[in-house]
Amino acid sequence: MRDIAFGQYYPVSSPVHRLDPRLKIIFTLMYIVTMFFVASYFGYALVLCFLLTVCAVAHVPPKAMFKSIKGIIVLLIITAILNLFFYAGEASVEWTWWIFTVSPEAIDFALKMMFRLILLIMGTTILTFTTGTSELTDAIESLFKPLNLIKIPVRDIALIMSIALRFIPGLIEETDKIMMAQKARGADMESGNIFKKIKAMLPVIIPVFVSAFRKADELADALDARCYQASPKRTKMKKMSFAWRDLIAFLIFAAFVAIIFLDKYLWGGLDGYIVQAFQSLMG
Amino acid sequence: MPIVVQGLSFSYSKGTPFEKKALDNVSLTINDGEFVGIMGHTGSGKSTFIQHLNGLIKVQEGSVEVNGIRLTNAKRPKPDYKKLRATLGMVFQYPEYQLFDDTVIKDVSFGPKNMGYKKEEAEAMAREALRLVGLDPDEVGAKAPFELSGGQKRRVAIAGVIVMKPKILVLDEPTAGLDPYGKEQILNLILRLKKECSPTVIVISHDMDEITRYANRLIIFGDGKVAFDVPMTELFKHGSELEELGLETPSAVRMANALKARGVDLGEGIVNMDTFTAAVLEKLRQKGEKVEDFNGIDWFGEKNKENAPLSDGVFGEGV
Repeated sequence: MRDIAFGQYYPVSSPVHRLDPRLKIIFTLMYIVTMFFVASYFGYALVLCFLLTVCAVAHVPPKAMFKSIKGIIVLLIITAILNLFFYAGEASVEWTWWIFTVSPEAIDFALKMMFRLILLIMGTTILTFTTGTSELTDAIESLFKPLNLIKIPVRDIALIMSIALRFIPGLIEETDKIMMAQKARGADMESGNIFKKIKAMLPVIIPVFVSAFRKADELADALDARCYQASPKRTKMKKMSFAWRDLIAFLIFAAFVAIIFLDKYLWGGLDGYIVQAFQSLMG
Repeated sequence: MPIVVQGLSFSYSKGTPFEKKALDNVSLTINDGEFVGIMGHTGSGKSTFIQHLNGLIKVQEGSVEVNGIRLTNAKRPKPDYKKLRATLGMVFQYPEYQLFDDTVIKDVSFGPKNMGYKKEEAEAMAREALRLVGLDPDEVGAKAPFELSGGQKRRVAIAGVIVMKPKILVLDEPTAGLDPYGKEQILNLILRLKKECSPTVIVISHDMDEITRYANRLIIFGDGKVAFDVPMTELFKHGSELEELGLETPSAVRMANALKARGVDLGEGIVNMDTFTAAVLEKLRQKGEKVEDFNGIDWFGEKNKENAPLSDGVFGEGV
């Protein structure tokens, strides 16, 4: 349980870590949108190069980034298979075996879909690798400030988020401890079929729930005891402000997005040219 | 059969930037019938060490042998974890938080059921375990664990561990969060369990005065290593080492040292209030004063009651 790599912060100092968290969130959103405009294998290769470069600048080992795919492997396989066999577009050749029909276009489509998902996950984990949870919630609070105008309590929501995120490590630790205690009493959580495993988890889940409620109660009391009120004007310990490096990062990112869009709309996917150039080179 | 640990090393989150060395080449042997106290400040590796003893943490380097069951980092042969966990009972910190079932009797019989006992057998064992920790199975057995008082919960949780009659009992800060009388009762319970079902006891504690009253051997961890390991009677020789490790010297030793500095030497072997008082009385006797026999301090006025009942409602509210 201790080694869960879910959105884990990578505690090093780097230019990427020092970027304004608001900008990083905007970049991530733009990145997600951009991914749906990648048209060619050249585009995917470019995205991968871009991510690897960001990793290098952020001092995050690329291995950590690739590890994040582990969690979606099942999803990847299912989407690949579905796209492969239920491709609805036009096909130049069709290879049929029993009820399965595969075409080169379907393979192309399924591959691109897979790359898209992999790169989406990898790209978004860079945000969590380089941004601490308190930075993230502060940034979200700042970005959603305009919603205050329509009476949405942004500050309260941000507080709820940061408390929820703050609770996760504690709950994991608690789960770890109770799991050990029950294992010490002979509980077997590893063998048996899925129903047996679920039932074996009950002696862990119930105490963890009880403790989560108890902790939430205690925290509420502690907030009350310090007269905490979410709504009045409060000041921040760390003020966020844009710096020169944020502008530079923005320009680099904009150039990356521009190439992806150029590839789709102007060059119509560079793959064709690359294949042509390669063929002429071979004679 | 003893516990033999050889060259045990362990790191958390190995191979990541969070890597933290918790144990560094620990070797020691614990014999049958010992009452071992383990101390060390937070992060010294003592909890990691005891979690190795029943295979809750996989051995990374070195070996652990408990009653002939050997744990190493080799995948095969697979150690018999069930047998190991029935031999070595482990009571964690704040054990009352692990209670989960809807009745006390079911919760206590969780262990034996896991070991493959039938429901009736398991419940009979649970009733006996409840009696052993000073609870009446007819009274609390059918209650939900969450209805009980803090102290009762802790005793139910301990019953849930000793129900398998482990030959070795390991307790991680069994008295944390209790008031002085509650502590006394839990420690007396541990002594009783040592006599009646688990001859070898290992206790982690932060309270030097408490541990010196009960344990007969003290192992001190510092930075993942065994800083020192001495019979309790020799502890007084290690005052300065204790301070270096950030641990306090037992009050009795400090008092004896204060007297010694002023010319009253009480001799060697003072570790706790009992030995201190005995030494003072002996000194007075040598001076010709008439003193009566002394057999231990009666802290709560219950010493003479044989098997004094463990009463309820004496535990601190913090539990």
